[in-house]
Amino acid sequence: MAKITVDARGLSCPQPVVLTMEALKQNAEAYEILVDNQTALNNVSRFVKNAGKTASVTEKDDEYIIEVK
Amino acid sequence: MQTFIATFFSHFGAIRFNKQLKEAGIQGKLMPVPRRVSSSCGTCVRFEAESDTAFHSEDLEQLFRLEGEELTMICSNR
Amino acid sequence: MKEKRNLLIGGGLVGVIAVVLVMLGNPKNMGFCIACFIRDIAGGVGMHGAAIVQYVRPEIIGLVCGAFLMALIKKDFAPRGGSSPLTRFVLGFGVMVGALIFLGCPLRMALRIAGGDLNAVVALVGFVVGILIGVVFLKKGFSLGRSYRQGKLEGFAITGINVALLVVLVAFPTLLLFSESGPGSMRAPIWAALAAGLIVGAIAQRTRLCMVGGIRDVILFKDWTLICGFIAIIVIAAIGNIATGNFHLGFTRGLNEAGEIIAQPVAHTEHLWNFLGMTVVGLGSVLLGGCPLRQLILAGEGNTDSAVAVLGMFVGAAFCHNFKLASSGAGTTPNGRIACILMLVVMLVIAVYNTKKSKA
Repeated sequence: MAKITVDARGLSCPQPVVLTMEALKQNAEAYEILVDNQTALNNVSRFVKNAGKTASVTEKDDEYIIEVK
Repeated sequence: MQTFIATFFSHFGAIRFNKQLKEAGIQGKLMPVPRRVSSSCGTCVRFEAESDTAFHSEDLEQLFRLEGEELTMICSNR
Repeated sequence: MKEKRNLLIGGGLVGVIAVVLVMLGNPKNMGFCIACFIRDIAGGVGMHGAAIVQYVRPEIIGLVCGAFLMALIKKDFAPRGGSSPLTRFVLGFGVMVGALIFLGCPLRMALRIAGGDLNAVVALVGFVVGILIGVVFLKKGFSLGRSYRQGKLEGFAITGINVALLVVLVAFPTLLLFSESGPGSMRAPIWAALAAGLIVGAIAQRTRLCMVGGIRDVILFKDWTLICGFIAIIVIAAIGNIATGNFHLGFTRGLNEAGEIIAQPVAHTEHLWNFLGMTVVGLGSVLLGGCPLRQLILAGEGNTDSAVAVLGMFVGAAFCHNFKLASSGAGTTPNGRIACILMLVVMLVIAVYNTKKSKA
């Protein structure tokens, strides 16, 4: 699978991380995680880094797009 | 099946979460927060679930995964 | 279990240090008393005019700083706040009123028990009753709301204030008041008191030592881990007291040659008010999430809600002496008895108002 998008906007801990956890299981090439608050951003970023992936964050209109490879 | 420990901002948050787990068929244990988890005392819930179980609580402070002796923080609302 | 072991060792050390502080000059059965010492500090800076209890106690400064340093080292320093601070101020105020009715915080109550003071045992029963009431509200959904991340300087503020107080005590003592008689005049050397506070603050931060939490965990979960700390304090301090001739079992210490009753040190025998005073302390402490010692430690860790509770205690102590609410060896005062009941009612109102019916 090429790219999976996870829309975790409006969700609070632990939903964003749990959804990301699930998405990572599918072994895609890349992922795009959408969150709308700093807490979720920190949690998801920490999680994917611990899982050995790289994360780059773009901020857009109070929302964050986390590109994960 | 993985073991999780969830801490909360209030004692009642822990009670409510435990009830939610029960309704989802998961057996949770209400207990004092272990020292290694937090320097805050209070009530936490220890439970076993598949990682894709959707849990939600407004009162959730932190969620940890326990693998044997190793504790990993999954998320934090602090 | 490792936690229990650490609590037993930590508690034992606290018991030894408490006995040593008495040997070095602190009032008997008062190696530590969070309530009395905050009250003494209030006097030392002129917030009240009770001449026999005015002295900036370095133990309190040490406790906050010790907790801060230990938290910093162990990466437990977490500035947070915003969980009903004004309500906590009032609760802290109430806890101080209750403690000064009995003449001791939960830690001093334990040390008085270790000195054979049976009045403290009566108080212990009242304390447990207060905790039981608090637990009922916890189970029904009591919460003062979550706390939120605060800035690092905000979290450090209370520690900074304590450091400033220490500087004044050591470098500008003429600015402060020092009792020349009474409990305020009985004090261990500044450096010993500070060191004792630092060590106990660090121990309490590492072990989460808390009398209220300990009893609460036994009631809620039949978990005896946390209470081990206080049991160790009582046992070791008792042994130390027996060894130093400071153990006298009874409501009083017998009669002197003139046939007069010798009271237990800084204590009175009004059973009802020893009981009720500590009921107020027990209930208030459960609602606050920790006993006065724990509030100091949490404040050092960066918890500004606990810092506000400590400030409530500070102001409460000043009010207690300005309005004759505080007890003395001669017993309780009429104003004090009224205040005790009043604070109990206020705490119950706070408890009821902040308890949401289950919304599962």
